[in-house]
Amino acid sequence: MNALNPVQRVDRQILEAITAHDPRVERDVANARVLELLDLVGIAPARSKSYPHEFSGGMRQRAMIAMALACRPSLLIADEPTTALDVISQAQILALLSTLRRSEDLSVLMISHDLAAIKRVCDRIVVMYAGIMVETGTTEEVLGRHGRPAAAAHPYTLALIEAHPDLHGERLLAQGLPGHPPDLSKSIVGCRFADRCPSVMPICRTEAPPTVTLSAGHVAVCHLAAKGAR
Amino acid sequence: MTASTTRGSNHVLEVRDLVVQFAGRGSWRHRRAVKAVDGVSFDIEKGEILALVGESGCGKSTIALSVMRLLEPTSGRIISGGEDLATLRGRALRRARRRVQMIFQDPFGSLNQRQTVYDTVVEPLVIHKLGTTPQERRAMVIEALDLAHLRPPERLASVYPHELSGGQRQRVAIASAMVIRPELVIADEPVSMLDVSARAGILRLMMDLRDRLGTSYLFITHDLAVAWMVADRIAVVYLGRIVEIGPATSLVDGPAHPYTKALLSVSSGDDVSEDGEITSVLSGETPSAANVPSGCRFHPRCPRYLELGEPERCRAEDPQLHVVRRRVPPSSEVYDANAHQCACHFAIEEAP
Repeated sequence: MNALNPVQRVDRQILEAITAHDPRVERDVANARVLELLDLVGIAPARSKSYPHEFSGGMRQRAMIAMALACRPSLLIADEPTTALDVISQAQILALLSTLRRSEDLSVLMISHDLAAIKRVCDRIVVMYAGIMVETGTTEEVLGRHGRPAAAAHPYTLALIEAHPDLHGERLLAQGLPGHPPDLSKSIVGCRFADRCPSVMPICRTEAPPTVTLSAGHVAVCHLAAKGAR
Repeated sequence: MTASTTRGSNHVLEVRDLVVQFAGRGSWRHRRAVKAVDGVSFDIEKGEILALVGESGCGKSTIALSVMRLLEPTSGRIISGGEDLATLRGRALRRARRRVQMIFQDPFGSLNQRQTVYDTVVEPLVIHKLGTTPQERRAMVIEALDLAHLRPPERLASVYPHELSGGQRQRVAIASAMVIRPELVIADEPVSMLDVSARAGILRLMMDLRDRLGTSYLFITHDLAVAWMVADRIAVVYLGRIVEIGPATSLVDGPAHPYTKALLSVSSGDDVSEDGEITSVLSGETPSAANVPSGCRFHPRCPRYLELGEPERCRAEDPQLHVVRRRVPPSSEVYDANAHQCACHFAIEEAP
């Protein structure tokens, strides 16, 4: 939301991304590329001379994406790309990312706390807790999608899933996770999630959890998953 | 309509034909007023949670701020406890404000960083001259902190906001709203800045306080799924108007307005096809309130308008709220909590 320069027109800012990486680019070529990029993200040429404050949140995020695509990257890192937006704009930006991914042959690393958004665009998911990866797998397998039920194994992933209201599910408010993430400046013995884990076992407080392969590509770092897998 | 509903009713708040205008931009000769809220009416019963749902810029926060009289309503009535908050001034307004308290979206910005939790929570008691001795006030603060699950309250009373997590700060905001035991709490996006794990805790706390103290809530959110979880009734706001209002389950199971339907399909992920292509997203942005489309204000973005072959009526006639479904016979003539109302000429009629 605040990533754009408020006192520079949007097309200038995108132009800057192009000239910064290719100082010898011809003006006409660069300007044409700006319009092409804006068109790609769905901003009409008439609005290219606008200032960021004249754009809605969704439009600003589109401009940011255009800027990011200026140098034809092969990887786009999107850090909470829709968090500050409301639902309709969120859906539009996620749809745009999905389309661009196909048309521009783009890989996307999406960072998000919003499981619904992840479900909509991501193929694979890595769940992080207190600096480590606790579970990874395909979105279908971990979160459930297209009729497949969620098969998450880590209690933290399960708590996250439960904390998200599901309009298709039961109208029941989740318990939420008590407590806070651990203080990482202190050394932690055993599992980092042990203090908040609803199914904590004695071993969790003494030994670091093992990496358990549940199926091809689906991995959880958890004593409980190890017990279940055995 | 003026056969006032106040008598014998159980309403803590009645809003009638609320209009909030702002001066528009441009030179003084061409300046046009912007109607951020354009004729909104609703009731909240004792112990009821009403959610206002809509996109950013639709006017839902403006409604909240004018109920608090933090913004001056241009016209309309805001009736609470037999008084019209829209016209009260000075001491009478302050007295009336004891009944209505507000929780803001940003628990980092809404608390004074230089005040301890105790100072923040005791302030409403001082302003409203409640509690006679310092000891009595202290007891009231401790009780409010405990009520908001800030435990142990004695220790947390002396800390500063920076020592607390986002969820705890929002609990402080709730404690300072609850300390004077208001009848109605206006919560403007109370969980949207919070972590998923803290979110459920705050929502649970609000519902728990409703059950224990009978507090009513006007709950403002952009997230229909959250509204459905906590609210008894939901009102969907589009461009300064309520376009659909009804019991939460009725509205979610059988939306009558095409806009509600679009919000729902986005919130539930129903618009993603098997191969991951995202379909049927509502196109375009919310038009500015300075330039409201003719007829039905939603028609330029409405999928149903296109589906029905762009009927003339949608462009020409401004649709009014009308009852589309009623599960229980009406209890009051004017406003009926069981009625599911919708402002669309071609409301979707499939029953849930």
